[in-house]
Amino acid sequence: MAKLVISRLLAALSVLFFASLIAFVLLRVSPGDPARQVLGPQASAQAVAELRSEMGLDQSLPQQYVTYVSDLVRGDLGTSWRTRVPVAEELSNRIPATIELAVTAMLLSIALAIPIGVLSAGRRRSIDRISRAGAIIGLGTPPFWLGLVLILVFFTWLGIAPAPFGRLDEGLAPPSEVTGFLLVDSLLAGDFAVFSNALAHLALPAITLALPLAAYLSRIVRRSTIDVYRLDYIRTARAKGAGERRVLFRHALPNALLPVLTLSTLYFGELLAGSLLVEAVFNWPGIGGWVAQSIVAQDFAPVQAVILMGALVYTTLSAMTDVLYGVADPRIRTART
Amino acid sequence: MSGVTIDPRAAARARGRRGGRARAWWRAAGDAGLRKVLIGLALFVAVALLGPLLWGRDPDQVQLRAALLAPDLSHPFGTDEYGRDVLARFLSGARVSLLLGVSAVLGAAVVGLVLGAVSGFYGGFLDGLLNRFLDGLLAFPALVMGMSLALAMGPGALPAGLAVAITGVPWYARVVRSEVLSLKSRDFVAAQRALGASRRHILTRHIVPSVLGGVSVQASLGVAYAVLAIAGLGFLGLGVQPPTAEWGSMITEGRSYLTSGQWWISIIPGFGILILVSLSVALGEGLRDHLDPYGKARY
Repeated sequence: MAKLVISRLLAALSVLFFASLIAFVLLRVSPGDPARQVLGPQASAQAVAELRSEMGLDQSLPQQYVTYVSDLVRGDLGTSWRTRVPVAEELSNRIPATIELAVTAMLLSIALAIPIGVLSAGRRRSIDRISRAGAIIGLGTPPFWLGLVLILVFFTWLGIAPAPFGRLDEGLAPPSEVTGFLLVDSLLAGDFAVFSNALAHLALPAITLALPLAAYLSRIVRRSTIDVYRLDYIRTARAKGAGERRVLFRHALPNALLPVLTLSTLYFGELLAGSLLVEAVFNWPGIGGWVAQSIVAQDFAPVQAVILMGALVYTTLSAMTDVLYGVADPRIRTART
Repeated sequence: MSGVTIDPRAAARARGRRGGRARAWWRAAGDAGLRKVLIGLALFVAVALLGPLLWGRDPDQVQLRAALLAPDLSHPFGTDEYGRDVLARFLSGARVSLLLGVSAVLGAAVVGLVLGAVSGFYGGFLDGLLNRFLDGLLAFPALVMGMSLALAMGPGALPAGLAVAITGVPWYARVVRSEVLSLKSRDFVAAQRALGASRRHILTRHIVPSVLGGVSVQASLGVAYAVLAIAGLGFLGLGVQPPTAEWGSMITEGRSYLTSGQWWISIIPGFGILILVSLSVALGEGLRDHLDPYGKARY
């Protein structure tokens, strides 16, 4: 078991190394000069050269990489050249908004996918046909466009959704910050007006992110439910006189949902990427809009930090999944990883 | 590989496998559901290729007097803020999406196929290194790669397509590698070796054709993913640049008119993406039922 954990950890570290290298090189080969970008076209060549050396841009690429990694190890993500704010600080300000959105979307999609998947695993072919068609259309829907359609219908036409700007109505004071998640903080403060307003703002972006994921997961739930129902222990449970309801909830579902949970954690990175677009649509003050602006301004540090964070989330989740599978299944523990 | 016993039936079985492969493609072609999807895709391609010729309006012609017209007979999809015909832009956008999406996927599939086949077949140190590198790539969603490339090369069609292609490579390499690993230990490969075939011959003539089914499943799903990612980059302003009509950037252009009631500029191009992506997903799912060696057992 320890061997599995260590080998997974080493693999995760090497993936992180390659990801940081890729991100670093990609961002450094850009043709523009960030120092010139910061100082503007009027600045003298000497000022630009001074700033370049201050930024470390006059060093060779390998040197810059070593500096970058050693800063990283000490927890220094660098400073935004555009805003002069440390990246770590800005990241911690913005990340709760993104996480709140992504987690809500994830829970919503699981809540949709399980009943749909189980129903379409049943004997009724018509339900399965409809859910398959729905899943294909759901996968085909561009999330940012879906967000605009929802804004058009629920804000412009029906007028029941709040304006797609941010997490709260303007003029509403956010609750004192404990977790940074507005839903949690407002409940802790007992402020139900803020809670319901935050929920209303969260609803459309969360639905936008959740629907394509729900489409994908529902097919996986269906597949794994069908697979589990073929197994002997289900027949045994039935033979012992368990009702269909008990067979489903007590015997079949817990096993059928295992791959669903794995895949949904693996999908989390994809969800974060999707939230870049959806945040732009709803003017959500998360990391998405920040990254987009930083890219336009050739501000390396935030972009690098977010890429690295994405790689970290991805490798951590996939390593965790592998180890947890090892715990659950002894065959994986001994197999070569 | 010493100690290989020559099995006279192995060669025959290898031939049989080949026949099985052809049969699988044939069966796939006979699948009624899959045929509908193929007809849909053929229609889509026809519209993308012939549409602009038949409709005949210039997608880039600015006519400020005709700006923001609602859909009617002379402009079935309305006009945008510069009075350009949305139908004409929609049709030329179809070409852009199809061309960029398919070429990105082809590039990714070929590179992934080669890398996966080589690393699976020869194994060893190269295999380990390639795998780590490809796993590192896997941590980049296409959108993030597209942003980085847009930053490095300046936004445009080329970095967008490259980003989609590069992030696609590990998916093909993985599919091919795992399949090559299992094929490598099969009897027909041992038989070929016993008959004196070179490794290159075995790889190119016997193993690669066997993995094409899996690759084409992955590629159809890949087109779906590519079209979505390219449209997403266009939406952020990091993809195909204006004034070229591209669906993602058309959606952005119409965004500010959504709340004032001119919905057609943004909403109509989205349907184009929806249709193309859904058809590609359906094609991939349909092909998987027939061509994937693990068939329906896989999710």
